[in-house]
Amino acid sequence: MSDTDFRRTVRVGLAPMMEDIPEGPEWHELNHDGSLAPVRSTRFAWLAGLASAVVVMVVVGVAAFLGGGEDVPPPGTGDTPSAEWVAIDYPEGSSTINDLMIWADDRIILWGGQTAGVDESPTGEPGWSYNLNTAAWSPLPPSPKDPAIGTAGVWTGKEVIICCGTGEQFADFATTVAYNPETEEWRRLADAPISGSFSEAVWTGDEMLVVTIGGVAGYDPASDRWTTYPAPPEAARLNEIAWTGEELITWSRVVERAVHPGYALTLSTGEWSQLPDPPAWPAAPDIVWTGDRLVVWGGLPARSGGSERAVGSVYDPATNSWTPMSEALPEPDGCECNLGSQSMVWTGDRVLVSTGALGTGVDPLSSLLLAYDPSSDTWELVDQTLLPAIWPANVVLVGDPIVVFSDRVYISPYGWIPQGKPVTANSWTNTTTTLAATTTTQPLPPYMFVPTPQISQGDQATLPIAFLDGTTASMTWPTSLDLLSNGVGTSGWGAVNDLGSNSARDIIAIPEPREMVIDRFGTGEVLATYADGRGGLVQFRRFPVDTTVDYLVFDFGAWTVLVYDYQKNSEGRMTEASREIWSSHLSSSITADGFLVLVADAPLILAGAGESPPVALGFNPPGGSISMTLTPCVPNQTVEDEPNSLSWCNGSGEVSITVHSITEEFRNSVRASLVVSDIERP
Amino acid sequence: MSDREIYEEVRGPLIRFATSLVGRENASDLVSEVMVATLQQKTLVSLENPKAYLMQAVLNRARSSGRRLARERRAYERLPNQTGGTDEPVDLLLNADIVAAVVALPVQQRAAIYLVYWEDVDPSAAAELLGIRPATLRRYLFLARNKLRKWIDE
Repeated sequence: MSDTDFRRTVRVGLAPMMEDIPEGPEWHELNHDGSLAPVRSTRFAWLAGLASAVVVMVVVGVAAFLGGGEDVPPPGTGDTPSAEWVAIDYPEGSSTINDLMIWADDRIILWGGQTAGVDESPTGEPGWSYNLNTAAWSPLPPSPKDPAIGTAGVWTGKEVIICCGTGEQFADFATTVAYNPETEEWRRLADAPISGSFSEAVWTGDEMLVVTIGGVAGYDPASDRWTTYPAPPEAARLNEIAWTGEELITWSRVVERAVHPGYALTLSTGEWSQLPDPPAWPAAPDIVWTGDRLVVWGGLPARSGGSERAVGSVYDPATNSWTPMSEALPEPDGCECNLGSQSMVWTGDRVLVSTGALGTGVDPLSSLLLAYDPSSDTWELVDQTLLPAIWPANVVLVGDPIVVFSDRVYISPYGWIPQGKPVTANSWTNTTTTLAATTTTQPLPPYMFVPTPQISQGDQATLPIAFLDGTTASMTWPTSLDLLSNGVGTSGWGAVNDLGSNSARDIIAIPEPREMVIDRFGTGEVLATYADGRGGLVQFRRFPVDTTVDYLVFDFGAWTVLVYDYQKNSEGRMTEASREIWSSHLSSSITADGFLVLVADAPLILAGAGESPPVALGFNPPGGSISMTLTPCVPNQTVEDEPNSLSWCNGSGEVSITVHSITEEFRNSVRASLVVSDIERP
Repeated sequence: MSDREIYEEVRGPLIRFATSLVGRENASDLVSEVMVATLQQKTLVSLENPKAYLMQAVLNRARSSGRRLARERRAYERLPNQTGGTDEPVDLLLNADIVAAVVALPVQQRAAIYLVYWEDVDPSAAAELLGIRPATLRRYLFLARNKLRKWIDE
């Protein structure tokens, strides 16, 4: 389908909707206290209570790191960053050459590599994890993949996927594995279909694209399948790669081997196209995609066959043309430098470059950190700090702080990146997605739900709430806090049990029809179906977003309810009988306020004898998330024990409440005004 | 510029945008809800880009409107095969399927194709209006294109 066909299709498809569109609501003067609304029909008044699912973007890594550890002093915090970098030694016995280094949320994962690069055999302990929260290294459990060097890997947001590389006797190249830092478990994935060394990988959001001198392939975790793409039309070793959102760009690091250095693969068509040659070809360059342009920059010292001159160009796909980059590089005090690139990342507004030092006046094994602004074609010296450099393995990972891998792991001061926040990098993500839901439930013991929710609108809103052990309470907050516009959810976290084994039966209700939820989660696969007692079917599904959990997916019309079956502990999997019981005995209704009511007409086991029942109620208002548990506590005592979190005890000392938000104002507002009272035990 | 003037200026685009997401029947209500929620919190003049803010709010609220979407979809699935007012050539026999396929797209994808292919907004500008990265918008367009291709081929 051509773009013209697509445009025509879209316009035809939208046309019936767009005909004779009514004028829409007229302006009415509004009171800003929320008591007046403009003209609207009443048939959707339920929407005030029936709120939407919310996507919560959680920035990870930074705040957790600020908690610091005992062994390593934490970088500076907040608006007063420390001037000092923190250097962390690699763990004793680890491999530090040709290894894979990935930043996985709040951990640095090292895997594979050598302790000395004298041959191509992997040596040393292959897997390590550095936890930014505890500031400590710990070895990874044994992997299904034999130790290897030169592997390729990505962080998907859930797992580190590792493939390829060279093992003993060049074996084990194809073995692909995934490591989950949360469960600290490995799993074996489908073997890679391509061969060849010098592998590079990039994560597209759905797929790990791997490029080797032997070809290009993509691994889809959702289907556990590889797709083989056409190899680049010109053999080029040691490719640098970048992902533009639509195209995979490869760039030869060895210029003399390439007639043309740059190619782009359009995944949707499988077609390669040659990029025009840049005006200057740097030796040993790195490339980075800025969102709309490709930056190529680098250089090699003369003693290594380079030109003692760092050059670069910026490619604009819109004009299919190159623009030379300024060669007016900043220089640290007291030296005349000539710098070549070792690695680059895009911070959202600038290219951050970890350089090698090529010229006189600086230690030839030192590295500088520079920033290039493509909009003004200017460079700046970001930090006078000279970091030891190991060519060519020096890697910069962008976050806040940033991490530079060299002879040691260097972590910058927090807030060190002077402008903006980094937003993109090739192989990691700093966001995760959480779905919340709108529901309120009140159990009849044991393990049954009968809610009677009501909200008193006005200056104050009150919601009767019920914990899963039958304890009821009232939650009151100022209407202006808008706590329910994005949803109320219940979820039980902890050791919940099915038939005496270890498992969990978290429940999430989402105010969307099942097909939308399935689309949102990714199609995945239907493992089984069960009669729901109302003539319909409950699906037992595995979604690609998290294959450690399977879900019973209940279709309650406008609502979808997911009941979790954590398969990570096989002993705790739902049995066939328990799935049938859940499917046939959990039903629902919707109140006039728009709340989902879950009703069980037979006992549904949430926790086994001696196990902790689900006790948390979760809420996801626009500004953050709130959870509360029935935990004895010191009345009104406030605790800030987690980054971006504020916990306190209600006035009667019975309920512990936690608000989590990256916005301090929101945390304080909720702390100051949310009241949980009228607690009645069953 | 006052709140009223801003609203008068963005009302039409908002209604059309909402229509593409939840259908004509519900677009006005959706915009009303967004306006009420917005004005309870802030003034329009205080917003750096009121149009983008409100469009994002409409999109977010539309994502919770699955019931209405389903009703709209059922209605369009009953459409006869006719061109529906467009002046562009099209295979008449495919028209109802195309409408159903477009209506069945996830709301984010529909928002993307509406802005780019109905309003002819530059993709970069559309991404800014929706508060998403251009790459994300391109991904929505790509996914929509794939889904429509599949539906039409069937």
